[in-house]
Amino acid sequence: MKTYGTTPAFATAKTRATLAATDVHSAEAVRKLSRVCGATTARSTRISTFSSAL
Amino acid sequence: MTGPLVPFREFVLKVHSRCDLACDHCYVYEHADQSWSTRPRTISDEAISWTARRLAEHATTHALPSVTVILHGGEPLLAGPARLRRVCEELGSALNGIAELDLRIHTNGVQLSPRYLDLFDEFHVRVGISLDGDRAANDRHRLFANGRSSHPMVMRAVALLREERYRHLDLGLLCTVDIHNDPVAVHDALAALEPPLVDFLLPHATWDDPPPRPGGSPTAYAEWLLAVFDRWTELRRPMPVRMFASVLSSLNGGPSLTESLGLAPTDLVVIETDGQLEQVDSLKSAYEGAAATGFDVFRNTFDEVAAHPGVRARQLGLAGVGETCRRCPVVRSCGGGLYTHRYRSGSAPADPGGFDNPSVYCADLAALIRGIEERTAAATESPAVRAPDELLAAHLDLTRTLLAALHDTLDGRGGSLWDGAWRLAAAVEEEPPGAEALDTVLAHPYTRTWLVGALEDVEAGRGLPEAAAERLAATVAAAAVRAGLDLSVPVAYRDGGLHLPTLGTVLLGGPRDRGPAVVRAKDAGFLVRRPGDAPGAEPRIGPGEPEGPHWLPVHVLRRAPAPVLLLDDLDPLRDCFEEPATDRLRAQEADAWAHRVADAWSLLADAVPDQAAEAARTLTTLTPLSTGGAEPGSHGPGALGVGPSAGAEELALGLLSGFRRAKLRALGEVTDLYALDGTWEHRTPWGNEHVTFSRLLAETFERAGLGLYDPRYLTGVPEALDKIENAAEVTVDGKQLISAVRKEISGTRSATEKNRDRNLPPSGRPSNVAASDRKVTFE
Repeated sequence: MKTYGTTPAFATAKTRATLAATDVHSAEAVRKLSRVCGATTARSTRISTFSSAL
Repeated sequence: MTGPLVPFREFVLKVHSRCDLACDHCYVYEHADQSWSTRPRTISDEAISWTARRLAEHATTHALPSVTVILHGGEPLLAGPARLRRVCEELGSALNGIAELDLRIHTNGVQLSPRYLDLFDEFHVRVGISLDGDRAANDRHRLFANGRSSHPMVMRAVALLREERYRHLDLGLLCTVDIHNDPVAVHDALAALEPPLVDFLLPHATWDDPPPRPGGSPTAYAEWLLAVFDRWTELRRPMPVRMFASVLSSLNGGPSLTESLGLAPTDLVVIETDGQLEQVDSLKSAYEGAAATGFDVFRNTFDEVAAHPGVRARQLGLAGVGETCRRCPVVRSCGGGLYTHRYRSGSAPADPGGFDNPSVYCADLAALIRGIEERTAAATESPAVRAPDELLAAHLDLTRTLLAALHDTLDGRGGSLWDGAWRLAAAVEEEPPGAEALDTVLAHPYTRTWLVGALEDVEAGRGLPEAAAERLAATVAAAAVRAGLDLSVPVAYRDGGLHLPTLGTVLLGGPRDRGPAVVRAKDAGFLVRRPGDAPGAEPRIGPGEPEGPHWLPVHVLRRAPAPVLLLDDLDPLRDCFEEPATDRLRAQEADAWAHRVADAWSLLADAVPDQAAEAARTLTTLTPLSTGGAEPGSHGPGALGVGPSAGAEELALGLLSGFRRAKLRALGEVTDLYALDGTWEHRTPWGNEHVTFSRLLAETFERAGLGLYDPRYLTGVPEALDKIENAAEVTVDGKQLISAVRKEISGTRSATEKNRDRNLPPSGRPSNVAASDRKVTFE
């Protein structure tokens, strides 16, 4: 899956989100889950790769 | 060319073949291919209808969840609102109920007005605009035929798109690089417009027609782009930049984000105004007809184009780049550059020319990627690689995300026990003691086993197993008990028992008995009440309650110098190792385990104090196995399965080996140490065997760890570390890990002295290590 914002930014301190407030659809969450699950239903915005457009 | 057909997901639809600007750097009109002059100016009704039909056919055949269609030109707005409306209506209608339609348009902005934007709002067509930076930069190329500047009109278009009513349609700005321009001025002009995305395009060039290098520097374009990167960093990255995001993504093990970079297979096709199907149209810069396929939408399916050799050549990943590129350590990030930029015409019949070359921007791309890596490695490195506590924190975060993802995926279909437990989990973590207790239970290694298995079941359509819903209830109950919360937690017991993870099993009946119950903390312990239980007759488990008719506590090993460890022979999920887990141990057997582990730990603490200290901080749970040595299984960090027969010496080495393998696995689950595993082969210095990168890394990491105990294991490790560091697969975090390993083994001379008289098995022969040589692969 091609997404923006998947580069980890570990320098930023993370605050603990409650379970209910945990975002499972962000690009970071999708990448996190994909390391331990073959596929997840979490979706992230698809991007265009055509270089002559955005 | 072999391999599966890669379906198209991006469709560039040329709706108008002419332009109202006369930019002298345009690949459509100013480069080798001049086919634009023979095409219809505007796409025909017939071409629109057939395109829609072919799109629906392709999306259906490949079960595509979405397709992206980019309206392009020439200048697409010249097609006019009526024609664009027809395009949007036909595409939307054809794909309705089949796939999501992601519509975009890329324009020079000159004609952009509310008339167009209202239409785009109606059909949710998002808009990208070409802008080369500040006025001086934009005026260098983007002029009308009479030489007049287009800049004021483009700025008006950008301002219109930024208005509240249209902002949701704004895709951002596309800037073609000219190194005569001031990179900082270009960056700042773009950033001032607060675009949601920017990309920089290298001007199209080939080996026949190389890019201008006025100062003669072979890396002039990298220097220009790195100046932009530095300014972008200085201003705290005011907007995403696709080129930089792509390099950062691939350096850290992710995918490339543009066809200009990386090894991802191409998945885009171009439909010309006359319905002809072409490869990516930047190929027009190479030679006349370079993009042609001979196919059109009227007679041919998109699958036929996908099988065209020219398209397939750009879907082969590493096999699709030249020999020089295949051996280059940055190829994963650059991918050989844009296909067009590799073209060189032939000089003789024996030298037919083509695309089997490095990019004409090769030196620039290498310098850009290395430059970005040097500038960002420290900030993008995961602290989990060097700090064990950070590794544990990352895993707890992963486990919590898995639980939240499972709940989200269930979408209300988890059943009443699940829903009730989920609500109570929120109540438990409202206050710090409850939150801490819940995290403690979630950090138990078998929580991961439960969540990954349940998520796979749900996503495969098998639904949530009852036992998986019961585990959430038991987890919340264990947390409430640990925190002593005044909370009644509904649970379910089965097989005559209720297992509370990290605590033990309450015995509630015969082996086949099952049913509902409620757990409630009471007097620093807890009670379990089933429907119909008379008040006072329910099992009450006090703090530190010993084993009895109603209670089997998890054994806890407390014998120094070993750390306090759970000896978990109760958890229903513990059978997750290659070897089977044992049944419940008797008290004296557990006591023997405590002695064995303490004896082995004593050896480790003496020989490898740093590793023993790290293991003491991270290892929480041992599970007794009926056979075998020490091994990690399918669980979260902190567990090892350990077989019965090892003596202290063998167990010490086994624990070290198992701990090492468990750590590498744990790292690989929270960060990317490498990418494209299996693409290249590497020779192991010790076995002279050709293996994948992951296996080379795993064997090296384990041998380096064992080498601290017995330096004979270090044979070949320095050579392997060099190989890993210079491999194309390794990421920023992979390099960070290698650097840490180098530091670890730098003091092994003293370890050699220390262990000289130790009665160690010959290198490579102890049973658990020989076994580990066969097992060291990621699963």
